[in-house]
Amino acid sequence: MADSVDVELLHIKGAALDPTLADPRRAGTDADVLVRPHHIPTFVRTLQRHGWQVHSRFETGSPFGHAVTLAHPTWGYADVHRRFPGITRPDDEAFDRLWRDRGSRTISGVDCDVPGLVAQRLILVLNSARGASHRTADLDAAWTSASTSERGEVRALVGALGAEVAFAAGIGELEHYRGRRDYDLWRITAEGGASRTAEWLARLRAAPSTRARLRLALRAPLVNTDHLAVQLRRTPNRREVARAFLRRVRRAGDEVWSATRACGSRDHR
Amino acid sequence: MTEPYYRRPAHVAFVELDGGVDGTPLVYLAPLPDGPASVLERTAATIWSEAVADGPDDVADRVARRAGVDPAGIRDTVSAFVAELVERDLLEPVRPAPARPPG
Repeated sequence: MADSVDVELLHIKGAALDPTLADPRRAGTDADVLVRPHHIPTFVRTLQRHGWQVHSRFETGSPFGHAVTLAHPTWGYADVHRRFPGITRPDDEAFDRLWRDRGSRTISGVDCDVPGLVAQRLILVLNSARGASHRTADLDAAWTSASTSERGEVRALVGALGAEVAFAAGIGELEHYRGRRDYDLWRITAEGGASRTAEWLARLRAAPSTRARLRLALRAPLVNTDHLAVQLRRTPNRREVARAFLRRVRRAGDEVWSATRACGSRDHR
Repeated sequence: MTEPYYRRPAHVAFVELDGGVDGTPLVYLAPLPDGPASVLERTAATIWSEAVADGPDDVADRVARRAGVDPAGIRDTVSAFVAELVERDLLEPVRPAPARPPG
């Protein structure tokens, strides 16, 4: 479908992995593609024309706003990425770099563009930083077992793509980046278990500009209608959205109250 | 190497598991972009795999060799199934199958 509308994309993770990095015993549950950012609207429209439905949008998917998820009754789920979480260079620039060094892999009999081997190592480490399942195996294949020269190539790409903080979170060196605006976001992402309020605060701190922070802050209390639709298995009506909104505000209040009490009790110790 | 009699149509993605899930052949065929996907198991999978394989023998001979049976006993069944795969656009003829004497 991408070829039919001249959309450039790279297949990432899962079946797209180089055999030296992949675990043959694993089977994925979705497909991930990184799409040239300004090709995304065309690609998503093309998918929709062929029966794919938007399951979650950039704004509602993950804290990183990196992908739109689509679902198809036959083919399952596809994550259409505009960026990979952890890469901070502008999306177009980052895609150009990955596209320039791309390779090819035959997936199910179809020749597909994939990132080069160095970029695949980087993507696996960044994925591990998000607490992905099979984290240890991925890290071992992509980083721990890599040679000194392979690690050097990966580090160079990390620098070129501005992925230092997330990469450090992946390989256990995050403390070197304490003080960076995205440190907290990667710390709670890697550790997991943070409250939604803590996650939002970390997202606000990580936002690259005042404008981005403002946009995030304005969206904070809004209901994730995509998530609600999945829970209800249908499009929510206005009353259901309103109820979810109130629950969200109440939960945020509870979390702030709990955090305040925790701080207060620490102060009195 | 001899050209096969059939090939996989370019728009059909496939996954071929020689050992299958329980040790038997399994082939997934997925016409892109709209599907639907087909799953061929056991003998059906063997027939598809042998149809697209290189070699001088015709499909029934190869399937018979793999199954350890007399080709004459399965030739009609194999031919009918191959014709159905062609009709469903899951196989594409490349060259005519060799003529066989009647009987």
